[in-house]
Amino acid sequence: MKIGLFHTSLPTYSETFILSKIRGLIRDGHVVQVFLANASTEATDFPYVNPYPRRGLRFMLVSPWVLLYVMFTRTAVVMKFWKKEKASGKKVAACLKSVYVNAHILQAQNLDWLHFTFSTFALGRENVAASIGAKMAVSFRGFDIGMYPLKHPGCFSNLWKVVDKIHTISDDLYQLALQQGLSPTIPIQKIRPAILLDRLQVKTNTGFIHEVCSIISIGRLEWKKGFNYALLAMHVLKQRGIPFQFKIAGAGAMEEELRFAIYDLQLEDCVELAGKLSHQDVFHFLNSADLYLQPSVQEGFCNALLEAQGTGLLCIATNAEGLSENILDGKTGWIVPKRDTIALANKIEQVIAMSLETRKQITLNATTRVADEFKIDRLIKEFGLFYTEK
Amino acid sequence: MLKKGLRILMVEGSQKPPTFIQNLINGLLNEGVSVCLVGRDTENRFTPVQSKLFSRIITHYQRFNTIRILLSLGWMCITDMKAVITARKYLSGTTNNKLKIKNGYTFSKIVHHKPDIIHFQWATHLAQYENLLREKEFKLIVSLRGRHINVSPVVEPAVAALYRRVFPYMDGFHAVSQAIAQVATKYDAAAEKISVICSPIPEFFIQSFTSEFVPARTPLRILSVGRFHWKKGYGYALDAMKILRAKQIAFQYTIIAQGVIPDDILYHIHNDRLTDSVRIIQGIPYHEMIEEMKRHSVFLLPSLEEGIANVVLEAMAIGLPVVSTDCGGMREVVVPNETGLIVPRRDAEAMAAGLLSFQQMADQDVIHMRRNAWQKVKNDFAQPIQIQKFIHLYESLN
Repeated sequence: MKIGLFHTSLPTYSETFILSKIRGLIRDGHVVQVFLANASTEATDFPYVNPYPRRGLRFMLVSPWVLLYVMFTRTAVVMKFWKKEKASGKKVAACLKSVYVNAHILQAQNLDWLHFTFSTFALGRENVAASIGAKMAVSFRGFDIGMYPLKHPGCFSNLWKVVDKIHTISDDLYQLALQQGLSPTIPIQKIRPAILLDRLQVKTNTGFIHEVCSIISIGRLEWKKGFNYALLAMHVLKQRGIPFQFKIAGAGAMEEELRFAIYDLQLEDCVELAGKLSHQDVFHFLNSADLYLQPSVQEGFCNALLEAQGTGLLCIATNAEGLSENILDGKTGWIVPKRDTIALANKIEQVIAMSLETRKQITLNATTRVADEFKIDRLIKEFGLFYTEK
Repeated sequence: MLKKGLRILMVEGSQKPPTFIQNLINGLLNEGVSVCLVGRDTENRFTPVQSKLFSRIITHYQRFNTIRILLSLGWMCITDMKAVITARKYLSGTTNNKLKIKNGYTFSKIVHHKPDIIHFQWATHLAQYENLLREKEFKLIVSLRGRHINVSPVVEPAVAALYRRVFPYMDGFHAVSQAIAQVATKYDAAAEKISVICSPIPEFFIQSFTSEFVPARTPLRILSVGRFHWKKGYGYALDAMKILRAKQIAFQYTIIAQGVIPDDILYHIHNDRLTDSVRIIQGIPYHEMIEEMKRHSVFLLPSLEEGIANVVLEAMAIGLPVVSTDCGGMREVVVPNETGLIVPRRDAEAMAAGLLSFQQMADQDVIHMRRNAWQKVKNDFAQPIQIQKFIHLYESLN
């Protein structure tokens, strides 16, 4: 199989998921080509194709030659692409632009699949895969299905007509896509994310809760992560006289709001914004805590929550999209309704009051399940099947 | 009586100040005070009621900024070299050449203008003028307004440090509420120098009040006005709407705000299936506000922090009952069951309960509440009274 993956920029270290997938597919004998929307110069152990310059002097110098070159060498493909673009109502200038922007993909030969790693990446590129004779796959990951169409109603209508296969990370996201007009006849495969287990170290005293319960959360400080609701829950806990220490690791646009909330709710003595942590520090951070909180409002699947479970932390999450598949409520952790501060506070209080044995059992269930079901090998195998199965 | 030709320099930051500052400038001009507005150029510059006593200092042009500033500075060197030399004093410690030119230009313009008083509208803007403040050649006033006092110093320690450094240089403070005055003393603002003056509410709001009128309350038409910013607490308001929906209350919620609708607001509306009962209007002209307000049953202020929200005063002035969160100085105007209803902040349940209790209020009580609210604004916040208070503050320093 020759597989083309389309991604915005070169996957960074934190995008383990995509990096491991690429490496795994190559190991299993597939040919993988990564197409980028933003050029990179970094050296990698897999091949990637940069787009042509989009602005500045280089664009002016290069663009006419690129267009001529691609039209000359891939005449049939460009003709096909042009016709499809025209048919979708684009003007000549827009078609030309489209050819140039996608020139690096149009040159690809013998691709079996062109896979867009986020559904939004495929917008405006709906006709590329069919033109080069590849099948088209897109991934649903969270924001792209949960939020983007709200701002751009009907943005996926063209994509739904041409996509050949869909990969979703949770059932919930698929349901959302169906609501947005995706036809149920299009083949779909759910492949849940995976994490690198060898990076995790299960903590020694699983299930144990210190006298001052140490609660943590990891995530960008954004509205989606629902930290403002978590702070309200902490306010409730404090009023009930439950001793705790809550730390949030991450940075983002919501920092000002959260800092003010901490001050306003008089939580300065028990809540701390720890800032963005390095990967090494994240594991220390996880290991030192008793309870992990994922108070999200909107979430694809959340790898941080998987890592927390894998570390042997007691985990409480909301029912935002994929999270209720991430944790099995009452078995590997607990699920509470999203944006419900009282329910969250009650759940934390309950967990603190539970017997050590019960809590130990939960963490044991969680670590076992994560190790069995969320290892990277499973993901690579499933993706291999995703491309080969009919 | 007003001393002839009081010259006020207003440092605002832009040539299109918010409505309450526009009202203040217009009010002062009408009283014969000369006003100079300092700020960067904008698309639609503010035009005052009369231009004779009004002037501008533009700190940043939208086009050809560098060349215009250099030319202007050159012209200053020819016409008023003394001002340029004085302004140089204020540049000590500035190492960045670009900044030297930018600030040198602004400062010489200020010195050239010879104001009696410099009135800084926003406390965080003091950072740029620190050297000028230290020299104490002008009488200085700073306005203490909402976020700049309640939030900025809390979330940014550098701002708190700035306030502690520069507040002692100030000759007077203008606080928009007692609550803010209280907070400012934490940053070494001398309590005896603080005058509490609310933003002036134009007469036409107060005049459009009709007594003995009870707004229709089924369906409950709820209105909020204010830009999209986390401190406005719209997330909590939408949570409250979700609760009303669950209780099967018929309602319509309108938010009037300018700018792009933030993702979280959009998400909440869709996720809670509120699309048919929540309406967002992208800003309306100031004079149309009265008509829009009159179409509603109740005004909701879901804020987490405010000095005193002017929109609430405006709503009270035209007789739209108010449900406000207990934040900042709101309690100074919204007296529970007398002039409006107060609910705790960050509490959607309480907000929904507050709206419901308003719906169930006896007509007689609503009439009573509207009248009191109107009376309160008329007596304490009407434009002429507030403008006189400002003039009094300016004169007391001269």
